Amino acid sequence: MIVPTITALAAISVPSGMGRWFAATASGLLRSEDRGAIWTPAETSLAFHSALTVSPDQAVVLAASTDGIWRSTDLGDTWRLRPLVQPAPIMTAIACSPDFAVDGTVLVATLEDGIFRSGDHGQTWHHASAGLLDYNVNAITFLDHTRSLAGTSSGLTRSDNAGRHWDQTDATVDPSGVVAFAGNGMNLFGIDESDRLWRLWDGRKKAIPVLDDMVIGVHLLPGVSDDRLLIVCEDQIRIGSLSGDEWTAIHRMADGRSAVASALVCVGDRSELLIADETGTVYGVGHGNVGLWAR
Amino acid sequence: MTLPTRPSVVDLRADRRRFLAGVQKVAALVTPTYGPLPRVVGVAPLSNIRRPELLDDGGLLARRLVQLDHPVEDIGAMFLRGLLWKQRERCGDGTALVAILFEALVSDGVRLLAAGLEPNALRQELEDAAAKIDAALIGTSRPVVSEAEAVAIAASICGDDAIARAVGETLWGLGSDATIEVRSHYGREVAVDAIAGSYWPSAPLTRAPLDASSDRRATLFRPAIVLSDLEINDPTAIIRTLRFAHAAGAQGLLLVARSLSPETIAIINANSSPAFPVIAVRTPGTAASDQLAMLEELTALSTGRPLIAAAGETLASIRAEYVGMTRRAWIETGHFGLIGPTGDPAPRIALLGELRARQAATPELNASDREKDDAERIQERIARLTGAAARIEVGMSDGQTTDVRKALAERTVRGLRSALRNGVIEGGGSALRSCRPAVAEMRSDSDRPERRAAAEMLRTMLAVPADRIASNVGLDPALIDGTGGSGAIDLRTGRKVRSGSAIVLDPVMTIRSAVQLAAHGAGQALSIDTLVLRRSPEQATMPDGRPPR
Repeated sequence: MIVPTITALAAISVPSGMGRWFAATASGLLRSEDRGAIWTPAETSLAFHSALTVSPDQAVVLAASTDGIWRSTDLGDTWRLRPLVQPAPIMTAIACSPDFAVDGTVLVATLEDGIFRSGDHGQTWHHASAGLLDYNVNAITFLDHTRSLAGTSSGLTRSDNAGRHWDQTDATVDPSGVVAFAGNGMNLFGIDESDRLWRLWDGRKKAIPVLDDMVIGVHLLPGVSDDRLLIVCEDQIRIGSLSGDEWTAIHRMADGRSAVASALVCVGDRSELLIADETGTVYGVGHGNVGLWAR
Repeated sequence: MTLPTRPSVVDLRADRRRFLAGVQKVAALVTPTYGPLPRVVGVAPLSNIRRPELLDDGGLLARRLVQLDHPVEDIGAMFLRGLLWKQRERCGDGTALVAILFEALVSDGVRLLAAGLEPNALRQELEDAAAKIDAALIGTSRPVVSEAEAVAIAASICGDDAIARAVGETLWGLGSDATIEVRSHYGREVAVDAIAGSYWPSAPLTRAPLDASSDRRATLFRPAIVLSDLEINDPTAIIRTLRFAHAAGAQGLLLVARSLSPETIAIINANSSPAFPVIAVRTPGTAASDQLAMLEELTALSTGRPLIAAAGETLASIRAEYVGMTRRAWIETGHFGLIGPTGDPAPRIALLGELRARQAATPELNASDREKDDAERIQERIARLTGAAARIEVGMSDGQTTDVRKALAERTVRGLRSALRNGVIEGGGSALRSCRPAVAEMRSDSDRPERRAAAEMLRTMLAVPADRIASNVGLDPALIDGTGGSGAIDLRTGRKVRSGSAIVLDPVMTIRSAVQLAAHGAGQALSIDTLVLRRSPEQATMPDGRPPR
């Protein structure tokens, strides 16, 4: 059996209660109704799917492929293709505004084609790279509904108007660019092209390395009193405070397998981390309320 | 017209009230246009077949005033007219405010000079007091924080909702350095065309890919770019260039050159195909310095190396490192553009830093014409380097021709750009009123009468705009004065609102410029002692010697 490489994960809660998981792979988008036991192809295409997101209000699921953006408004039952530009760019990340239900803003990062933006919940897209000096964008995130950050091969660039105009920041990541983000308005962590974890943003101009493991994912775990960070390394999952000085291992990958993708799903006060390994297995970790993560 | 038939000298010290009368006539003309609900002023047409002009632009209104009958009144009027035009050129807005402030100062000044104050000392003190107000205004300014604010500022400048929305949303979205090209069109609506990437004015030198497209626009995906200011007459060098482009993995070639010989054009056309389109465009820019600047931008975005004629280079000297790349390029009849810079961004970041440093060094106020031209050029270069550009197409509306609306849109772009770059103050009239403490200490800490007088003049002046706004919208000025710190009056509705909500925002540079022009101008005007009135020009006569009717 040929196991497709999983590049991104996402999940939504559905009325039946089991939830619906999505996995973007090199040969299409897969969907599971039973927490990863059986996967079926979603009705998108067999093209390479590189990024995936569910809007904060769970109303829209967006999948980036080499065809364009696939969009579903019925929890992933049916999909429609929304082209960006021809030929279609290689997309690396999708980010929805925290206020998506109201402003409908979504940003897509691409390699070589800069950033694309939608202001109507992902229905139409236009180029939004004004001010961008490096069009190789690896990661993108919203800090709040107006401020966003993009990680390029040459550093960080920020927007203060919901991704319509970008300004290069002074913050530098040495030696290479940012490929993933997690954080809030005060603290920001990123993974560089060598899979190391850096603290990028707390008012300092220079990023500080905080973890030298092979980090493949980093997620902000919202807490009641303080936020914490979940770090998905190749062989284990760690948790720590945003001060970034102590990390506790809370899960180890089974049978020497390596994690290849992860997604944090938060519904109410319940959170679950989805992990995909190189064999194509996907499972949830830490299902429960936020407090259980610390154990 | 009552200009003297012989040159004469007038002692203005004895006739300052006439000068003031001229100032007051112009101020009365433009004052109705001041405030968040400006009124319009009708101007009779020059010919009977045209409709009267309805204007709410103080600068344009003053321009329509050609001459006053009395020669000294006329000089007062023309003096103020000059200040209004200067304000319009600087900021695109705030002309009525200049008129109100200037009238207040000259009116007080004439009275005080009659009481025996020394004009030159008063002038110096007015400048000093204006500097204190300037500092206070900077202290009360804040950045524009939302698209809604940008649209509201644009609306306060132009009073045209469609233009305000187009300019506000576009400039807020693309940033204060964006190039906004305003064009007129035959429709009635206002349309915005956001342009992806960067573009330069140019003309195609070869047309094969353009002629093949239905919309006269050629789009090249992953083309190689060869930049030059060369006159290319050697067709064999084109073949060498094409080899380098193929070797670089490009899917087309964009050649920038000053000119091409017919043989070179033939070779380019022969080698252009849908699979590998080749097109040449003229080196952008007219002056050599402009050409070099634009080639520098293109180089930073495509990471090749330009071939420069002045350095003795020819196309035959091309090597692999001269060939740049871009993700996409497009060519139209009057422009070409690049979307997606490639290669190391360090040269782009360095060039942008250098341009921003030069931009920051340009004086905010009082820039010379040359400095203003340079600043505009730098802003355009930053816009090209950062790919921030849009076109706004403006049609006619009820009562306004396309040309008037186009000028209005351009003025709005200039005013809003200033607001986004330098900040805004909340409610120009009340902000000026709140600056009164800045000059109050000048009254108390000096034994020089001119210093105390200047402080008092400016203190009085600072209260006038809020009063004038109130009376322009039909409210009692005392009502505005009595709101205190806890609330404010929304002048558009006449209702009391929470402080900070529904407040009119004015670009701080517009207000600063108006105060500075009024204070400087009043100091100058009040220190004029003597006027020389020139002889009136010879009247044309009819063939029979009678004066024309």
